[in-house]
Amino acid sequence: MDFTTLSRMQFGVTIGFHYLFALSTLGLTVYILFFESLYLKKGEIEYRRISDFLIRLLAIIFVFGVATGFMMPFAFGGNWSRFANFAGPVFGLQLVFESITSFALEAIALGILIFGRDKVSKKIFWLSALLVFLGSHLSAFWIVSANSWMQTPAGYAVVDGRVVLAGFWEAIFNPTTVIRFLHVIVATWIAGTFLAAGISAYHLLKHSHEELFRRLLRISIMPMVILTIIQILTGHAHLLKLIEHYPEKDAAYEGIFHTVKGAPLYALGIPDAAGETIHFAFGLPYMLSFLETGSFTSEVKGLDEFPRDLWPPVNVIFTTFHLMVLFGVAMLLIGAVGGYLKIKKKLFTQRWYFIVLLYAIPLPYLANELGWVGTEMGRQPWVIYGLLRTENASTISLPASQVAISLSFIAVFYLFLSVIFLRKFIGVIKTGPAGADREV
Amino acid sequence: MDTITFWQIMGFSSIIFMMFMYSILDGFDLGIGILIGFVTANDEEKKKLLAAVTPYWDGNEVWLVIAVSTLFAAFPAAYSTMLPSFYLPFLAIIILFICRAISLDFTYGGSRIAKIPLAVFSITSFLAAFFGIFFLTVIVSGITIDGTGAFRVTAGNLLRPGPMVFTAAWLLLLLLHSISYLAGKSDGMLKERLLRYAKRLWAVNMALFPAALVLLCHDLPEIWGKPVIWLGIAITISAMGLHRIAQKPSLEKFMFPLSTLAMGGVWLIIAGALFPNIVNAARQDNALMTIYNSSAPLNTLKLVVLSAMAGMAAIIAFALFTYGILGRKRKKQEVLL
Repeated sequence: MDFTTLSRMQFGVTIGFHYLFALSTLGLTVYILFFESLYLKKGEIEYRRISDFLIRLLAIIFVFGVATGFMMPFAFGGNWSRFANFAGPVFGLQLVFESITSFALEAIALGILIFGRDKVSKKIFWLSALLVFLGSHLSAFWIVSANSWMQTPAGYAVVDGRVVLAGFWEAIFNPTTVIRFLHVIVATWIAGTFLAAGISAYHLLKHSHEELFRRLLRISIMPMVILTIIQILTGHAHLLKLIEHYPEKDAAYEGIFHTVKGAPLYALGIPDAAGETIHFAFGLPYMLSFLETGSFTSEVKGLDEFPRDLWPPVNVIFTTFHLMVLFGVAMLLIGAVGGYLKIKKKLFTQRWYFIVLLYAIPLPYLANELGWVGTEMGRQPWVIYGLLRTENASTISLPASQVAISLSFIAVFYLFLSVIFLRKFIGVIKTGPAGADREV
Repeated sequence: MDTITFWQIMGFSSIIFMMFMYSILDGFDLGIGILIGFVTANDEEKKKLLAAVTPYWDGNEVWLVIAVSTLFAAFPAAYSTMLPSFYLPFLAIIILFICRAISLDFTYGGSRIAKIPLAVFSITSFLAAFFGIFFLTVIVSGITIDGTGAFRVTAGNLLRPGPMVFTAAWLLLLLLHSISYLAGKSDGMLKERLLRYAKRLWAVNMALFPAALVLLCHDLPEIWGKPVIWLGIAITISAMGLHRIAQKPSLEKFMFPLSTLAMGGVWLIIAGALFPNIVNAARQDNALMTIYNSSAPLNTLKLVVLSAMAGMAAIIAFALFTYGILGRKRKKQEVLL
């Protein structure tokens, strides 16, 4: 395998692994801030117990997230040095803002959350929860902004063979930053609700800390439904942006090979890029045209409008995109059933539903990973859309053998880290919160 | 001085300052990791030492993260040349940092200290500090740069007495710095033991430091004309001299500021020996990677430096506030049972 392919694989492994911790962090910080706010306002110790328990989980996730995050700047400079040199003046700037404004805030304030409960007032503790929430979300903003700039670059000029910053705000708020940030954030919050609901379900099945985990589950159900619906809308809005700014990627997501009036919306199917068709296609006729323009008979641009060598890898991204949507629908159904049970006041009497919630914990994680695989592979053959092709972004001075060594080592090492993380994380979940439940 | 030159120098100075902050903050974390098996007599003392690291390490590593990202944005050509040139060594250092952070999280096995994670924490702290410092002293002493500007680290670059002795001296200074911090925070037998170690480390360090400077002079004779080098030497030697006086029970609170000052002196020497290069070339080479030929355009450079400076001030203020809170004694709280 060549250097570029190995480097892509390594980047996929390292970012995919790191992202699992990043998205868990974001989801948990919302819960912690919520319960700390309730504790500050109402003073009920049960809210503090839930929050303390979630902080213990966050502490483990954060350590793994920070540690695995070290790998990313290494990859930009080591494997993708021509990209780093070409795009440093814009992309590097966004990383500086990320590290200064958000990582610092998050990492330092987290010390108070984990170690400062009995050293500060309730207000200062609440403020720390707010800062960790803001820091982690701001961090996500800068990273999504940098990634969006690679998808839909703006606010730049190319001078002497490299990028120069021509408009700061245009680069930061490039055409897809805001909608992609919303889509990513909502995805992490959904993962948070499924994690909280799944942990609650585990304890309710075991009859441990039932009062406390009933609260946590009750609070999680409606956001599961509402956020999943919002997510469908942000996803749709993102696709509309793509039609405007990156139409070939949208065509690949939807499996539209030929420009057509009254395009169907495929729900399932096996894509065949070579044959330029979708086998066993199942979908709604005319619906894609309607969703994209409001008219059932309007024209939708197909991949045939673009040179073949600029097509994204259709088979992969059609599949990952549709699997992501499928998982999203499954999450919506699970949330909706919970909402129905809650309204009917049967939420805590249906053990089968607890089992569903427990096994549904990985669903949003899978959907997130699939979404990112689709979006990153969907940018191929570009690293920066329209500006720098992947084959021209990788390092030329390094032999492929060095990346083969590093990739093999990282794969084994991350497998080991996964095992020790899960052992510790599940151990804390099983132990549950400190103290005994109170009758409320 | 034209405008871009000013901002290039400011960018270089900011990175040096960030690295100084990193070395004094995560430096004592690293030092405690190395020392924990030697200076403690029981689990209680080990817990005390770990308590001086666990709440702060991630906040301290912020300085390394911002230094790396500032190097990327301000000097992208240097960043994209350095990383591939030291690809596997950098990867090894990152893996050591990952192992160190995660093993620290596993050191408390219930109420007892878990031996294996503690050993991993200690060994990886040593290796990360050793390789990090050795790498820095190698690029200060000079490496081979080929005609295309790519760096080639040869056995000749590595197997020189200069970087080796400098690494040993700096590593010992790091340990002295950690002991200085701990001495101010401990009492009883532990404090006595720490002061004893401080005296020994200080003596070895005072023998190694002049030797390291002489060898650096041999590798880079041209640096001796730079006033900043002499300022660095003066600060380091004065701080070390005063440190020896402070190594007694009534004055031990001055040890930490003085070891910090000594570290600052060493960073001035490093900055003086490098400037205006990002990486020094071995003597026979002529293709240099300087702050002038590797920087980002003026507008990016200005934004990076200004935001880095504002960010550093904010981080210092926030860290002082947070560490002040975490250093407080526990107050009575609601009981969860």
